[in-house]
Amino acid sequence: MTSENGTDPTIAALFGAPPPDGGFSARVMARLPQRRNPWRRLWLAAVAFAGAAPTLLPSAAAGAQSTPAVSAAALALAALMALVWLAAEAATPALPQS
Amino acid sequence: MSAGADDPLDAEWISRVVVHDDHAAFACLVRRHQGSVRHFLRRLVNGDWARADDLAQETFLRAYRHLHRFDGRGRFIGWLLRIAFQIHLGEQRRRAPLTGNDMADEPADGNNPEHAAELAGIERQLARMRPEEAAAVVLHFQHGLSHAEVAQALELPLGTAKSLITRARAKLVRSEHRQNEEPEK
Repeated sequence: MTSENGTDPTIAALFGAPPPDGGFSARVMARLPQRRNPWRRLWLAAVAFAGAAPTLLPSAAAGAQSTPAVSAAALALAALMALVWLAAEAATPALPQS
Repeated sequence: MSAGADDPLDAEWISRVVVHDDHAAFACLVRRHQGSVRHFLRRLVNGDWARADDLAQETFLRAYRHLHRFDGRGRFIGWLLRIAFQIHLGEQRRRAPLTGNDMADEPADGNNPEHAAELAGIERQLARMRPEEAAAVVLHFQHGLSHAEVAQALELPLGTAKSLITRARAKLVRSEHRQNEEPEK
């Protein structure tokens, strides 16, 4: 005897119930690549530049006083990028639940 | 992009993953469909549940990477099971073919010995079938996919899918009758 979609409930019953989650979902989520976020990349680049600026810019050519200024500008840029990143994260609407 | 028009929740979560790379939304998809995917693969790997879970994990990771390719035609679970079957086939090609001795003697579920024996019978039958036939059986009888959905999941012509299911149904029914007729030991 078959059901409306053509399946046989007798045969279907033989397959049993699906397994419980048992931590499987967490295992999958742990393996996902990190979230793609362009603002995060900009922030990381700004922080890296702030850290590398003193060595990247020869103080003899640029003047000893300009190197700290460049670092400060890069840090300010990094802070601004962090704020934009946080705002982008907060803008994501709430998740519908099942 | 329309996604899983049959199920608005799936469609919403899929959109959030594709547009915002929302991991929480993808976790909802995993929690919702992990049972079906793992159940499907467990029937195909003849009782090796650890291997089935490894394949299921790979299924979801691949689904995450290619979620933008889901075009919304048919159910999302059908698309997932198609990926799972492809991964299973790929892994089978890399492994040595299974013999009857390779099968687990009993399924890992020890809670219901009588049902465990029936499951073992099913898995023996599935092990004797070709991969497409076994997959068609599981998709149709276990997951309730229609003939058209099975054909789409396995990338087969509709007529081929129907034939596979009809032949497999006959084998399963014959096997069940033989088991019922065997005297108790």
